[in-house]
Amino acid sequence: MNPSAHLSEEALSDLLIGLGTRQAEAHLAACASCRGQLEEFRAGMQVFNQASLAWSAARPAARPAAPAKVRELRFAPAVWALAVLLLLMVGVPLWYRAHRPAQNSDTARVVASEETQAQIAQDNELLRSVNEALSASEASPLSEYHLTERPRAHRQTRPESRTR
Amino acid sequence: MSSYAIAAFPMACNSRVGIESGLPGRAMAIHELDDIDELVRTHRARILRLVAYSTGDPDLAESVAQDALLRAYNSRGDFRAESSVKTWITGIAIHVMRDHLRTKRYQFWRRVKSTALDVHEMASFIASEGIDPESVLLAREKFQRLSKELEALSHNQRTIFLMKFSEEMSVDEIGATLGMSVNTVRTHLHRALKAVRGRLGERI
Repeated sequence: MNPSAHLSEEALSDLLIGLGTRQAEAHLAACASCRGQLEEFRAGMQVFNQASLAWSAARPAARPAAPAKVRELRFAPAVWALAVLLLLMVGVPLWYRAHRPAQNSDTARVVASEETQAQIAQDNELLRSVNEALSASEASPLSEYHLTERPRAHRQTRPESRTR
Repeated sequence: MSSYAIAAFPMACNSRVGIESGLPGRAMAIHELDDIDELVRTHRARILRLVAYSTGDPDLAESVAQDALLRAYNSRGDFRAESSVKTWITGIAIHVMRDHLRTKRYQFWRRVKSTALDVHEMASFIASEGIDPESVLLAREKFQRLSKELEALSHNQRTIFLMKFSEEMSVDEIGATLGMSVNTVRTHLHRALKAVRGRLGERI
């Protein structure tokens, strides 16, 4: 290196990085201009570091919340188990209710149908007995003329079609 | 970051604690790591600064700083005192930051929301007590210029520049932390210095 020439950009960078050669360091000791360049850069960085650190220190700090994370993980299975239990407690009765009315309605329909048939038969029987009673107690208008009443078949009082 | 990454972090670095002071140094470091409040007090601000400038996102920097300190505390048993506590925690913070930057969720929010560093606000933190107003103004101007020049660097160049000139890490430590060779770190630093000093007309 020419002792009178100033340090190259690369040599100055190496000195700043901390990888300067002995020759470069020797030149730096003797050359105020090169030394001034390095000192200017270092002074600028010092201002930058001081201000940026003061800025970040002024930002509110939150203490890392380690225990909360650990607790969350530890109780996660219990929370899931509780959720499943609640689901079963609500779901099983709902399922049961959803299925029970279907069976009951069939039974009810059959029972109602049987009751209707019996009621119709009972009504028919009652009407028949009323007819018979009436026909026995009242004198037939034909008897006045000494005519014989031909027996006739009883009309069905209530049509079978009434069955529902 | 996995515990593997934390455990594997720079063991080939120049040791300050381990070599210079041996076992008592390690005991001191472990004692420091045992107190999470002390860790936050000592390291939070500089990690926040490093990540905020490296990513340009102060919100991300907050969460990385908190995450890194928590991981350092939880992994303190893995600390082998082959580097200083400061370097070890910086390494963890760099890995946590990389993990955050890689996530698709972050990349999405980065596109949607743009939080930037307020350089003017930061410049107001320059000490002004006992200094004449003109010097303070000049210092603020210098600070803002340097911040803008750092913004213009690539992410790698900016991170390495900050690790070297703000965190005062050696080239070996930076290489071990980032998984780069010394020559690669040197090249990044050369380019960053050339850009910063060149654009500022060597006024810094």
